[in-house]
Amino acid sequence: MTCDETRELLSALLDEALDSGERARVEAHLAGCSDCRRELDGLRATTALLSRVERARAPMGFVDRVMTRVPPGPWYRRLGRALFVPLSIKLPIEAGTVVVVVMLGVYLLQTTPELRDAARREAPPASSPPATEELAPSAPLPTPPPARDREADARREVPTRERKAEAKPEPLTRDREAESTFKRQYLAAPQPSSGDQNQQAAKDEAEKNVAGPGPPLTQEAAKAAAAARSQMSRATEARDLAERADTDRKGARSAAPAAPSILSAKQQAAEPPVVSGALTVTDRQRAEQSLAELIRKTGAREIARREESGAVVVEMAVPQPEYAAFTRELAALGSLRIEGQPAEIPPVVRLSVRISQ
Amino acid sequence: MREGDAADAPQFLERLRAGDARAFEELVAAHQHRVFGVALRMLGNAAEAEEVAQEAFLRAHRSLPEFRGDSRLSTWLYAIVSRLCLNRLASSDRKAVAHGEEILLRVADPQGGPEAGAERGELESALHHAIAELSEERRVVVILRDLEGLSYEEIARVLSLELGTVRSRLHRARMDLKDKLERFLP
Repeated sequence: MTCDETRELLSALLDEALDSGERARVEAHLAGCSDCRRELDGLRATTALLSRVERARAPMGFVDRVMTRVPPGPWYRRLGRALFVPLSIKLPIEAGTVVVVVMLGVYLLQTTPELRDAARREAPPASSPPATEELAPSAPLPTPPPARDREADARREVPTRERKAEAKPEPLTRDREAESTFKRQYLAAPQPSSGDQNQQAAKDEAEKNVAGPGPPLTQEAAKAAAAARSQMSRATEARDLAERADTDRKGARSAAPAAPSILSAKQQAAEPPVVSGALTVTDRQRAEQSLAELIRKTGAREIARREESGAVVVEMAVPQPEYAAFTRELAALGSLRIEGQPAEIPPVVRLSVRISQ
Repeated sequence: MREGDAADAPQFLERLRAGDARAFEELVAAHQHRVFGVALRMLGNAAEAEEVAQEAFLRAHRSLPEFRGDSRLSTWLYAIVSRLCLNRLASSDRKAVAHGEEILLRVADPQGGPEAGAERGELESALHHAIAELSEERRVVVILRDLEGLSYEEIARVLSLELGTVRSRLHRARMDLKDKLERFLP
């Protein structure tokens, strides 16, 4: 191998890019040629210098500038990516959205104004507005409950009212609330006037009492209702309620044949006798006639009458202004003994007189 | 393993071929310095080098669906940028403004400064001038071999040359450099 042939392969020798035969021949020549060894050393030093050259670095932002120049993919590929690729993300998102919408719907249903109003009506009123205000025609009334529920309500309410009748006096709010609830439940939806509403209420109550399980319940119910009315009469709107009670009675009489007797019983028990008297007369029959005339004259009302052994007990309701004259004239009929004279005379005095000879 | 070789995983190639923009961005980030470096050494002008390097990546992007994976991505990119540089250097416009190459030093020497030794600065200046003064066909071979570290076979593939031609051109280039840098040799 000549020096020129050897030197042509020196770079390859440095890069170990010669096959074994070439390498053996080159190394054999180099072993005996100092000029070629010097040439080899020079090349090795040159490549060592080249290895010291700093590597160039692309300027800042090069990648972004390239990417801004990269054209978007073909339309079908972009379309496919938009439609297909996000599907794996879209589906869970859509499922989650459905769940959220359903939950929102349930929430809104539960917080519907109508339902909220219904809840408010069933709750006990904090103040004591007149019951008629709650029945304002503009407010939507709940659908009356089925008859079976109505009876159950009546039975449920009776003991409560009895307790109230025994334990007097009590705050009016609960009784007024009970009456209010009673009216709401038993009145038909929007009524033109409160009078008609009361008439309907009285009719319903009469029907309920007639259809009740038996006399005890009827009496209890009547007592309870009477107690409620009695307590209401003590309230500031006593006059209004009394007028409404009159309306009730009239309406009930015209509405149902059974109503008068029922209402009569209700009236008897409406205000328990607070004054009892014993009138001893010489002629009982005449005395009774005189009493009837006295009742008529003073505007009082006979509530009940029952025969006892040799005597008759007459229960009456006497208006307060006439009470003094009533007792005075009653005393003129015979020998009168009054018990339970109240210190403060109520608007209507319940008077029970036992007339005997 | 050289910079960016890890990006040759089959899954990555599939993403590139499918037109995944994120994958292509990763490719550019991984190979930007190599491609730009070759362009800068070949052209000697940073602005021109960036222009050519960008064009190289855009061509790669267009050709990705046809990339078969026979060679490494880096080799493929070297081929593209080398061809672009040689074409540009061969154009009449480039020849009219060429033979400056004076910017090469400043651009390619980020650590050059007052504190750098005078001798080192002189050596590096001489190195860059020596490389810049090589003929294009020798310069590209010495850049790919001594600066970028490609094997003879890879250079042959990048430049579409015979292996003997690569060996011969590289030897001539080194001999030229040895003569130009003689004063720095022991």
